[in-house]
Amino acid sequence: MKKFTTVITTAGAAALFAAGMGFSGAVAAQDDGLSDSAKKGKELAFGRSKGNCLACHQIKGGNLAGNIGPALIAMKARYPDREELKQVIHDPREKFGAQTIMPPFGANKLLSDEEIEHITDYILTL
Amino acid sequence: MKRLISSMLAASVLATGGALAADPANPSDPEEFRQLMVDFYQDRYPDVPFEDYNMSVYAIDADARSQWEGMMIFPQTDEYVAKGEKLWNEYRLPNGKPLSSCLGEAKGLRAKYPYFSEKDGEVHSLGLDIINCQKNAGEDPENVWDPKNNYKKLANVLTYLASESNGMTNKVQIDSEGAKEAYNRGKEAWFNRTGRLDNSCADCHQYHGGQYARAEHLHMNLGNTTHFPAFRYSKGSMFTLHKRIYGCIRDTGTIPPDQYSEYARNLEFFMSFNDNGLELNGPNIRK
Ligand code: HEC
Ligand code: HEC
Repeated sequence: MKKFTTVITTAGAAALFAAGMGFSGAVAAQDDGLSDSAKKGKELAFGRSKGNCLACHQIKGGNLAGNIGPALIAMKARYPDREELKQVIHDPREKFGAQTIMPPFGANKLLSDEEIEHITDYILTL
Repeated sequence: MKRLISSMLAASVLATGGALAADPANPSDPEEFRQLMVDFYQDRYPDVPFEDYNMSVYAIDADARSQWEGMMIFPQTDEYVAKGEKLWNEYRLPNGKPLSSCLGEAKGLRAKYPYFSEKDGEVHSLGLDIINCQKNAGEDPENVWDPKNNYKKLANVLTYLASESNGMTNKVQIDSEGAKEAYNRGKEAWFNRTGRLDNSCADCHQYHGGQYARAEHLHMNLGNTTHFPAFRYSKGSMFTLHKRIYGCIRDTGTIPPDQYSEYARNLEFFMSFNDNGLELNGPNIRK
């Protein structure tokens, strides 16, 4: 059993959030005012293959968002410290405890450091 | 209860590899634990009558439910029941005998599963018993109805057999130490976090049951098993329980254990025992 647990958690890159997680939220055309980095971040946050934040979080402009996590709004007020926000995306277990359903995007290499930078830039515009 | 069960499981179950300490929040007695699962559901949805739990998400989603009830009037599953019945009646093992010579009559057969066998110390799934009948009779491996080579035949026959137990009550027995251990291993699997998402069945279907992942309304911790096989209209095909479990584990970002592996059968046993008292309502239709 122990052995299996290790195998299954480290095993490879099967499709994440495959069909089971529903439809893609269309990226709204209104990207006006976003920096290049934030634009990339938005694509990652809305797209199903990588960030897929919309699966769980309501985000302005995203269709058919999930509600497993809190709506992402007024994020600069909630996270005046950019590093703290980045850390939540990198490994939410540190802030919310080992039981959080939010995946450890950085720690489990679902997203690269660069991608997390872009997403952080975008989330801070919300 | 969320934090109770999960922190307790992290501490005692996973760390000790399954030896459960006496703990009121995590009784090792299956019936006591089942009651906790029922209470959890009832606390979250006090208005849902117990007998509705076998509708999975439709028990808690009125809009989707009326759509589903419409589909169940002339259900898509009928065609698969007919195909499965034909196969059941016409298929012969290499010794010339039908599957019933090995498994017994179709009527009520599904309702006897899953069960724990004292003989081999394992949980038996109906699908795997069919496969083993064929293998033991010397069937050509290419013709065995395993999920890899002949999934459709397996799914169709399971669909027919589900229809022959439709309306009966789910009554999974646990009356030995071995059965109890199998249940508790299935419980571990339910709370086991897998894949790069680091998610467990309980994450999606218990702690966050009733919430939405994108447009998907997540069902709760009970009513996982009674209605299979299910025709998924989003995919246009029949899904056995083991195919569904496989898909959900894969979606956490890992390579799942095989369908009908011991891991998956223990999980089936855990979920099925928890569904005791519900009416068997397979085959059924799901999004
Ligand atoms: C599978 C569900 C899920 C996914 C996918 C997900 N999150 Fe979360 N997220 C949560 C939950 C649930 C919480 C609340 C913490 C908790 O209860 O564990 C949370 C919390 C947060 C917080 C903290 C909010 C606050 O008020 O402090 C931020 C920021 C966040 N998520 C950003 C993201 C970003 C960015 C992504 C995508 C890259 C993402 N999340 C993907 C479920 C998810
Ligand atoms: C990342 C989220 C997630 C995880 C983890 C997950 N599931 Fe699912 N599961 C879903 C979604 C989404 C659906 C479709 C909506 C629904 O029925 O809840 C689903 C559907 C199901 C169904 C079909 C329900 C029906 O009514 O036909 C079963 C059974 C199931 N899951 C079992 C499991 C088991 C067992 C595990 C753990 C091994 C698991 N799931 C882990 C997201 C998940």
